[in-house]
Amino acid sequence: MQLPNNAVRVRHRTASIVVEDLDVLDTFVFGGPDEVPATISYDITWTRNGPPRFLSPGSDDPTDPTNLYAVFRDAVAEGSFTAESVTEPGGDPFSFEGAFATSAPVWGQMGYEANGSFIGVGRDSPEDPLAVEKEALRLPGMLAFEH
Amino acid sequence: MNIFRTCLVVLAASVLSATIAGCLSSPSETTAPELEAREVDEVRFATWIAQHQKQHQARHDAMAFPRMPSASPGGGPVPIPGGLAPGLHVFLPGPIDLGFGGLDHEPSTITNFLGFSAIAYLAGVVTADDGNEYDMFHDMRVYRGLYRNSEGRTRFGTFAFI
Repeated sequence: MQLPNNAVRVRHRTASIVVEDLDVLDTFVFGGPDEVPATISYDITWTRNGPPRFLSPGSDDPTDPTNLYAVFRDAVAEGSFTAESVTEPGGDPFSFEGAFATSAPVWGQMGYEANGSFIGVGRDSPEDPLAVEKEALRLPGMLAFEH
Repeated sequence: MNIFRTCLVVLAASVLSATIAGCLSSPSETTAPELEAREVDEVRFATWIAQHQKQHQARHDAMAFPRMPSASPGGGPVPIPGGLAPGLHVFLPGPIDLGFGGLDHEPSTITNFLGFSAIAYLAGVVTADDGNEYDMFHDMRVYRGLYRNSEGRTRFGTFAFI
């Protein structure tokens, strides 16, 4: 979903997102037919902690999951989550506040990528594996916003 | 909108079914700062996975699937052409040995995109206002940059995948 630009702050080694009172749909179980309005708030900060990995397309097939140019680095993300919903459709209120979560036991990454019609940014600069990152960082506003 | 919400539901189910390495103990023993400091304990984590898979039928694991960027009319971003299944325009990048698709897989759900991309699979424990504790697992992503929208116009925007 689209967010205001100032909901996300991108810096060279970190990135963070702050979302407050976002209206969403709670479906209770995966694929469940019931849905009720719910509200969530969360903040997450990614901190990169790995060397760059340079990706290039594994094929020309647009449906190939490797059809992108990218510079990614592993990152650890930490955040807190608050949500309000109900226990079931028509049920009692259910909520939690400030629950901590981390990607440390699992995985995270951050970086820059180009796909689809922008894939030429990487393809046309084979001598520069950082071309996608450099081009993305040239975008006005990429690093400009504060929470 | 409905198509993409379904995407998320299946995505979440896929994540929960994956063999995700980690180190969460029973919720009653875990406090927030301890989560990241613990070492991987395969036996303990296998138990956590089993518990989590069982619990994903319960409401708490499935909470909050928001409206997402999709091929919406009026110039929204365009979903990537591929995906986990027809109509599910999302991949699960991550370490293969943890059950994900690979570190070289597309994290973006938006095609014709140039910009910043971040993804994280976050785990934690929730203490609800009813006093009970629940495991939670999130696939959270952020994108910022240029995208060519469904009307062919180039725009700059910030997006979240929840």
